[in-house]
Amino acid sequence: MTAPLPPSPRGPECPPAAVLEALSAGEPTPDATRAHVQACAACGAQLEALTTGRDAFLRARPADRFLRQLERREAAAPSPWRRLFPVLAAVVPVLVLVLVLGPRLTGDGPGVTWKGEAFRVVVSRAGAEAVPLAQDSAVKEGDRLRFAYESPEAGHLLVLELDGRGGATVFHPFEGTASAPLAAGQRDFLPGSVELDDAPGTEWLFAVFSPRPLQAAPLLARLREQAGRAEPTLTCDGCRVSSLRLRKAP
Amino acid sequence: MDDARLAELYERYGFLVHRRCLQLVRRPEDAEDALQETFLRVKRYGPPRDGGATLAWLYTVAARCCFDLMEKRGREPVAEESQLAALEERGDGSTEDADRRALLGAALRTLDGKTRTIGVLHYLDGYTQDEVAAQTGFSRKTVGKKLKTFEDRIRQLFAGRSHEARR
Repeated sequence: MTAPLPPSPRGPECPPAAVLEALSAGEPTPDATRAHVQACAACGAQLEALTTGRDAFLRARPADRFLRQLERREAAAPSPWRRLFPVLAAVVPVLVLVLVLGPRLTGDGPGVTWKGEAFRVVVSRAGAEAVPLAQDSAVKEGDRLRFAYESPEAGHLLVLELDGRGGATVFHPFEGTASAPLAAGQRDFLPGSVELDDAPGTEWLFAVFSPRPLQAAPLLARLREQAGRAEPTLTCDGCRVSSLRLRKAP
Repeated sequence: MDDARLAELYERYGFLVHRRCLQLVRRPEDAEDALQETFLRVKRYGPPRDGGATLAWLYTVAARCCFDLMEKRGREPVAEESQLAALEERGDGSTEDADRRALLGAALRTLDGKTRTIGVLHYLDGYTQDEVAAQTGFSRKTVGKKLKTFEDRIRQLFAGRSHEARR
């Protein structure tokens, strides 16, 4: 069996190697240690060896040369972006394909359709707190709806409704003929509310966001054409369209 | 940190840091690499702690750089015969232990942080077990047990190397 590895040889009164090393670098050391090193031949020789070693080291590797080496090493180190390049190279084309081709594959016309969380609707009922509505939430005549739409950039917004009777209406700006301006990052609910009428069946809401102003009439006409369809859709060039289907209970 | 301060630190401690790196990684080219990486980290992350022991702090950074380098290279350090012969007795133990001492860095790399700290203090900094206990706050018994773990690891590595050499 191999014998245990002995620690560095050291006399009973001698300081540890690390203390001698700190002393050779001029770090503060207790007086007693200094006195011992001056009197101890082994410690004195070790200190001398360290000092000689440092002088030889610096002659062979002067500080200015070392600093230039560090500069070259720093310059050669790849930046985090460079390290990320292979990942980006793989991810970006896929992302572009999803954004550009995705809506075309799932939609049935030109333009960009997003069914995202940007469009939020709450319902207010007398004596109750406002409740967020999700796909296929139940609503009834007299419910008051409020809308919020969040976009990272400023633009124009229309909220349209297609009711169970095939009627299409502008809900925001209420009964307007064109879209209303929307500030970037607008998280608050839009002013005003809309009261639902007695039209039975499915209610569709469409939020149409565009960087440019939109006329409501062509979009309303397109919705009316799709009255009675199970899944009416709405697209327009350069727009983002979010939809929400509600079930109106009698 | 500016270049003037860095140059000052290098002139005062560069030799000792290089020596410590050599004790851990053994290959001169790796020690050079670890020395540069140590001072680059000092340059990037600022000066040593005020009022603390600068050398001890630099040794900690250097050891981290050495272990990182070993991980990166994915191999254990191998000492050349000429290096073993040149080991200083005071810093590295007797020449009879040189071949096993050459495995210190490899053993340290595979152990947990506590055992590593104790191993460095005992085998490289030259503190006795009692002094290690006083410095780290661990009990004398814990220090003894950790050093035993350390010894066992070195024995394993040494046996593996001897076996490799015989094949």
